[in-house]
Amino acid sequence: MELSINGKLVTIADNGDSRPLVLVLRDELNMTGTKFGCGAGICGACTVHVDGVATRACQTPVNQLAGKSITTIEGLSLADGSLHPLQQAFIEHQVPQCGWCMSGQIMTAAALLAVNANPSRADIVTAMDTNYCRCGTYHRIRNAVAHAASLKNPVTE
Amino acid sequence: MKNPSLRWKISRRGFLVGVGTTVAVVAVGWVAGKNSLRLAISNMAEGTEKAITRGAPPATPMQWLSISADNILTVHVQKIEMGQGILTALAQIAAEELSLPWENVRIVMDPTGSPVQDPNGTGNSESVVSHYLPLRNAAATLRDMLAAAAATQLNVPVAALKNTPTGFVTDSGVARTYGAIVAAHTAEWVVPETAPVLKETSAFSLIGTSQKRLDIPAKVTGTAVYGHDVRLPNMTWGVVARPRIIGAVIASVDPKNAATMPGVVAIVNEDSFVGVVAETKAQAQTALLTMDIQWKLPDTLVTQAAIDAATTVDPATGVEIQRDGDALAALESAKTVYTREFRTPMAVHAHLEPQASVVDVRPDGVDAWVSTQVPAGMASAIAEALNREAANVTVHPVYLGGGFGRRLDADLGIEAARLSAAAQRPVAIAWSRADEFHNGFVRPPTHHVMRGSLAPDGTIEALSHHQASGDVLLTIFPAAVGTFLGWDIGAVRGAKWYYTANAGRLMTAQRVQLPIATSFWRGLGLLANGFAIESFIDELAEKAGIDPLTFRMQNLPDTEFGTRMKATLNAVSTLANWNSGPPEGHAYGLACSADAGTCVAQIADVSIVDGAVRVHHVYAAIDCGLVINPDGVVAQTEGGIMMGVSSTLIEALTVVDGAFSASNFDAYPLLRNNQAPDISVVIVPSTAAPGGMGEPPIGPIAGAIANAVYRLTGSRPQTLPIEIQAK
Repeated sequence: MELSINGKLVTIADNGDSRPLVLVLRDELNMTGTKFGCGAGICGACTVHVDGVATRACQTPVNQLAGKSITTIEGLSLADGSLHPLQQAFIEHQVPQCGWCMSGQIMTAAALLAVNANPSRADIVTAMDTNYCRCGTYHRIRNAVAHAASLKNPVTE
Repeated sequence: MKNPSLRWKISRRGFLVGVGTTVAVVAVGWVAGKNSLRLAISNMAEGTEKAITRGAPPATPMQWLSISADNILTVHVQKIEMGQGILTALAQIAAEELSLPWENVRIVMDPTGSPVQDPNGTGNSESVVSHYLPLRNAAATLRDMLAAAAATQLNVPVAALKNTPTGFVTDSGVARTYGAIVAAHTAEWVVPETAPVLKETSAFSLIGTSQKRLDIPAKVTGTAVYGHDVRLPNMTWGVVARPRIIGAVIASVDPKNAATMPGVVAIVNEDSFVGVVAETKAQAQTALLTMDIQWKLPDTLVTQAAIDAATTVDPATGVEIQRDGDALAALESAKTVYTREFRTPMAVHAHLEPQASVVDVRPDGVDAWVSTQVPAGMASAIAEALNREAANVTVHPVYLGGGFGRRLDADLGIEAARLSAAAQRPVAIAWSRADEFHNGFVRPPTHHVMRGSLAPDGTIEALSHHQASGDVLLTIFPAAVGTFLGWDIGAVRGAKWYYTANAGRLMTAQRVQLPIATSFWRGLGLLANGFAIESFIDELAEKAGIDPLTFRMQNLPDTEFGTRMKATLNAVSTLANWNSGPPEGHAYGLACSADAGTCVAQIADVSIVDGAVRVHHVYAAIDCGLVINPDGVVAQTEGGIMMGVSSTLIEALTVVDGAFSASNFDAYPLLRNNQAPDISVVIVPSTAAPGGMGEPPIGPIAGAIANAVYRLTGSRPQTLPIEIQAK
């Protein structure tokens, strides 16, 4: 079967099974930017976009993804290769520590900013509440997402 | 893996190091008697004069440092980056003596067998502590060697060369970069016979600055490679049969038709070790499930009640770790003795990247990529398991998706090695979250009995702390060590009294051998001991009728440590406006602790929201001695606080029906973003040597929150996680 990942059609084995997207990405396509954390849809480390919506790749069977558009952290950078405003902001605020949750954090935040260009503090906390960070960078994540929103929407006064 | 830029021809003489780098030799006489020896070892483990250089220094600076023709300095270390920012800090230290611009600096984690030898691994908050002077000396020695080579090349005396940020320049203005000097040097490099002159700290241009972390760009683009991400050509997947019931061992195995199932490459069934190798993870799992594996359960299932009962202080059996004056006599004769007990539960590390290893066993050698904090130890363990020479095994460091003490067990690499030896192909083992919960090891439970008395003026008269804890450090030593010592150095991190040199002080440690795997967890005993000590000191302050900050100030000693801690407390009090207090309806709680040469003080701003403890803001002051990277210090402080808030409010692992109570985060949740406080950190200027940063900030947080909760509810929390009792 074919999957549309980061704008490219990719052929994967059609085993007629419902193997989760996270394992197809990581183990079959060697796209290891999407991380495995709990396999139960709780921690958010495997968050990708399916048709622009933040989605848990560990809870998403590939046989439900025909015709849908999947975006992973590898496809988040802009067309010219420059970093997404969130990636810039996460560097600027020196957010990651171990970094394992960061692909998921950034994909969750990117889905938020796509539908809410000027999120309030409460909007950011609500959206980012779905993603664990064991290193405890929550406070920097909030600041970086707010900063990225400002980068994306330069104030014109 | 070779280092292409590391092509030095060198003499074999070791380089000399400058001031202060010592390998302390602590001679302890066996004739001194068992108790004195125990006290001596305790002092060695926790003393301020702790040896800081461990492992052999390199024979030449070139084993740690290489410079390419385009003037890029590459620092080679075997410290493991697990989020603590260690690579960036070590690169700053190394580049300082060469005065190189930050853009010219790289750092790599070298594999075992490379010239970098680091038998100690990464932990104990001591990477900066142990590398600070040796790395500077290596870099300064290299600078002097480059100066000598430049002098020869330019035909001028060394004295005529001036050091610039990129190399040297002669009096007449002829400049040579370090890279050009290296490229033009064809003779053998000669290591100087004199120790180099190190920069004055006032001349530092990199140390003490918040350089951006070198590992972060790869971590926001998904390109950083962790143990779980290693993919090799021809790689297979392994799964291992693991028990769910604690203490269960394999009794019998009927492999059924597993060997002929789709994709199966090899099956290993020997010495109570059963594993399957297949082309995909799912095929391996399916084949393992097909096998009929019977487990022999322990005669008695482990119960939480038995763990709690065993982890209970018996004052008669504790070993004296600290004894100043006669605390027991003072408590005996005191008019009023205050007593309080505390308990902390088992907890898991919950590093978000589960354990992983990829091992390729070939006749000519073994290559292993393992999620480990200890590459050298892992290489030895794999070699031993395969009955090969250690030099035959190369462990390649990988980024760790969190460590927190969990990445220390050797089984991880050994299992993949055994499967790879059978499959004759590279094998990856990637643990699931359930594997982590049931087959890892846990933070040991603790019990603390605190007693204290006050003099008429409100100062402390006597203190005792009896602690019972599951093993931490002893789990890595031969059983005889534990039997001889009778107490665990790791369990008593932060357990000794640091208040008042004038009072009688007693601390005893009681070793509890539990039927569960307990070991290292961030800070070892620090979180539990900080909770007990700082809660109890707060209670004594209240009994004395003295403000908690003033009481701590009055009872800290006038030593160098006490002076640093008082300055740290003052700094946090200013940061949080302690005297003005928190917002309406909130309470402030104060606590402090010292660990790894670092003083930390924290104030938690807490309220009760819908019957639950809510930590709004944590203010922290930290004196970690000389600071390498201020933002790195702030980040580690934030991280320690968040992990501590999670432990204080949420986390507890128990045993139910002979197994750990959780298989995933649904039954063992972690702190989430909406529960995470804002954090403000102030670094206290300090002239002390660099202290540790990875663990110390977790020391005060439970006490700070508990003390705030007491002010809100009138009930003093005695167990973690804190549960609210109505006022």
